[in-house]
Amino acid sequence: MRFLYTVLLLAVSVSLQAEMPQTSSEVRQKALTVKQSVLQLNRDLYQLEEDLLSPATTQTSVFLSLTNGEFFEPYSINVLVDDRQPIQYLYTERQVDALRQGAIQPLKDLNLGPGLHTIRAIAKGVDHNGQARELTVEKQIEKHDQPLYIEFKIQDKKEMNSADLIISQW
Amino acid sequence: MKFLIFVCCLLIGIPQVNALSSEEEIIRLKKGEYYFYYLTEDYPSAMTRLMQLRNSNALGKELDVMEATMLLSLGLNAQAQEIFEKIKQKGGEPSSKSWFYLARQWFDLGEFSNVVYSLDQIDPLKINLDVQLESKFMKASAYMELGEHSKAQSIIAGMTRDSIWTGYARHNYIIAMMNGNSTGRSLNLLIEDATFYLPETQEAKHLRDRINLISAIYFLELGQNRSAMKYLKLISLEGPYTPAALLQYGWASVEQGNYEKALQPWRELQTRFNLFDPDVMESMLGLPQVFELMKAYTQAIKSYESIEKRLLLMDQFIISTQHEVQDASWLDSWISVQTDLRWGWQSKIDTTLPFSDVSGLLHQMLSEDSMVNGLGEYRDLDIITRYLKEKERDLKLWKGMLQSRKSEAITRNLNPQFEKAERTIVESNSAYDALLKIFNDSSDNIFSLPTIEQRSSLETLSSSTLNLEKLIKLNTATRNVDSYKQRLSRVNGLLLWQMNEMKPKMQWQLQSDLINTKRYISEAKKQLEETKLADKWSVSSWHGLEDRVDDLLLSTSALRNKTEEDRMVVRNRLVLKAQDYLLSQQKRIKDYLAQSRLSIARLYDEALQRRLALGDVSAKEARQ
Repeated sequence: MRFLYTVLLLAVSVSLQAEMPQTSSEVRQKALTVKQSVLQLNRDLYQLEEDLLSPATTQTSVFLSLTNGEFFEPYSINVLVDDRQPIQYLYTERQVDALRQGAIQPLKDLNLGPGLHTIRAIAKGVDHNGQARELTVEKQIEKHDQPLYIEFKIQDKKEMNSADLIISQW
Repeated sequence: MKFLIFVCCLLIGIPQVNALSSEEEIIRLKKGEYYFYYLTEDYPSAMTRLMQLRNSNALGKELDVMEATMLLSLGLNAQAQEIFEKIKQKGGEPSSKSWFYLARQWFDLGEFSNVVYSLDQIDPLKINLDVQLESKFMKASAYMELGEHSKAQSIIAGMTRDSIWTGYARHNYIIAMMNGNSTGRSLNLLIEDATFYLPETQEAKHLRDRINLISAIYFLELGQNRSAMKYLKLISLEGPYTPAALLQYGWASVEQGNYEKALQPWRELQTRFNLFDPDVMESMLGLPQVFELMKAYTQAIKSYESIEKRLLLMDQFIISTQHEVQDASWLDSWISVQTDLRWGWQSKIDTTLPFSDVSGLLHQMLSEDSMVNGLGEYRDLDIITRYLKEKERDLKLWKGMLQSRKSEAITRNLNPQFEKAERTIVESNSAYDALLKIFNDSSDNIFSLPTIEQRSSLETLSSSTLNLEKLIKLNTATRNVDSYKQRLSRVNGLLLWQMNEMKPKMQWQLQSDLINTKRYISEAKKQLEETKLADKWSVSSWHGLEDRVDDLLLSTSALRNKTEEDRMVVRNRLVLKAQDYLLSQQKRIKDYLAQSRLSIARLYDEALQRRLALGDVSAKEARQ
């Protein structure tokens, strides 16, 4: 009796499965094509949005990098441009790990008019002893008609067992 | 001379070095940005950055494996396969973690030779212990699939005994041994080892149940009922394998002739679990069969009759729920409870349907891999469709914004404001010049820089002098103005002394004010020039963007339509699958119904035959 039930069930499931593979693979192929096209479209949309939001004349990208990170682990960063447009960011453990592995965080894309601007950043975190620390930097930067790239770099000063926050621009 | 040439070369070389390094720095930033998204597992953003970097050759051989991993994570396996072949030919040097993720994806896809190849590239020192154990599990399982059991065995022997991954590897090894018809003592030992060393977690508990269940079914098929019973008794009563264990326990008892022992687990099965569960349905017919074997025919008939009623109700329930399955409302309600809005492998899919009549009915179907994959695909396409709709709307808004900005930039006339600002600057310059003259003259004129009090004192003195002159003119014998004259001279002298003393301080103040004014005027001039420049650039900064928005809008709409079509195809397929499942359930119910009705007829017939044989009923009565 049990054998009969099993055979019946198997017959039903085999007949169902026999119809599925071709249809399933066709649909999967279609879905894959869509996903590939979406990735392509994503890139174009991203580039267009970048250009729309920040034309080259005003485009300013702010980045943050961490060299080694032995003497400073960032918890947050606060950036002020001309005492306004604040950028505030809190870091997760995974993001700090990524920064330590050499990744550079895109903090924000700003629109800055031509001329001189004062940029100030405060990075809050802990040092290698677990003590709370603040790194501060302030600099005047000049925006021309080309896109401006600003990098905040937290770098270790091994000779002083400390870290420093510096600004570079390109 | 040589030194001069060297300095000249240096001076020529420096700007070129700077220009090059600046470009390199920007590429370094973009590369770092890509790594940031990659390492934080935001793969869609990483893919966008990667596509931009593709042309610049900024990344090395690592790029191929990372791209393959991301493509796999987004479900684009064919493209990943292509890149994987390229890596094999080139022999790249990607990171161990990339190889691990790649191996994991190949494992899920059942490409076991690729799994072994990917895992062979990992440096165990560069990955953590848990990842190491998962790698060993995948490698051992892949070897088993490839038929290389001795290699698999040596890998398992080297694994930590109390890890869940070792448990999974042993589970797969047990299945491989069973497929090889192994019945020796080694199999029993392996089963005991596999269940004994598992950690005390929920996942490990389910794995333990699963190992015990497959072992029991294997021994049941071999006819070794006592061994089967031993493993069945070890399965918990609160797990996903409980219904199957209760059913098999009943059958094992029946096989051993312990009919009464079979009744209890089946009764429990029918009261505690979903009636549409195949194990429960099988136990429903098993119960009266056991009554028959026990020669309790009346109970068997009653049991068959109650089963018939129950099966009819179940059939009616399926018929009444069919329209809900057909209109796919269960799919919509399932989509609405999904919290993760990402698509691809990374996203967390909740395969549990919201609790309803349909979910109870389709419960079994949802555990099938093909259904889970289908639901995942439908969810991905649904998310992509919504995303594309959103982007289409955004692009339309951008288009409107561009048009209004463009017309604003063209029609905007800032010249009056610029002229007014220029006039203000010219006036400020004149005022500055006048002040500068006062400052320059201040050295020769003692009264040039008076304070407000001094100015008022000077005015008072001037008027007093006039009054004194008038008095002198009207001089009479009775009036002596000498004392007034003396007093005026004294006050005049005092004021001169004070003004002379304060003059350097006043000159210094004026000078610093003049310097500041000069700076403010020059800054205002620069700001005005920059504003004029910004106004000039603003027209050209939007050039060409409108066409780009139009092009992208067209391609987004086309892709959205295509995705919508594919989504509907997958949706219809899922509905069809659910309907087929319901049909199979109905067919099963009808089969069981036929079985019960036949059994009822047979049992009545047998009862009649018995009564005829005993002479309780005459042949004539029986025919009636």
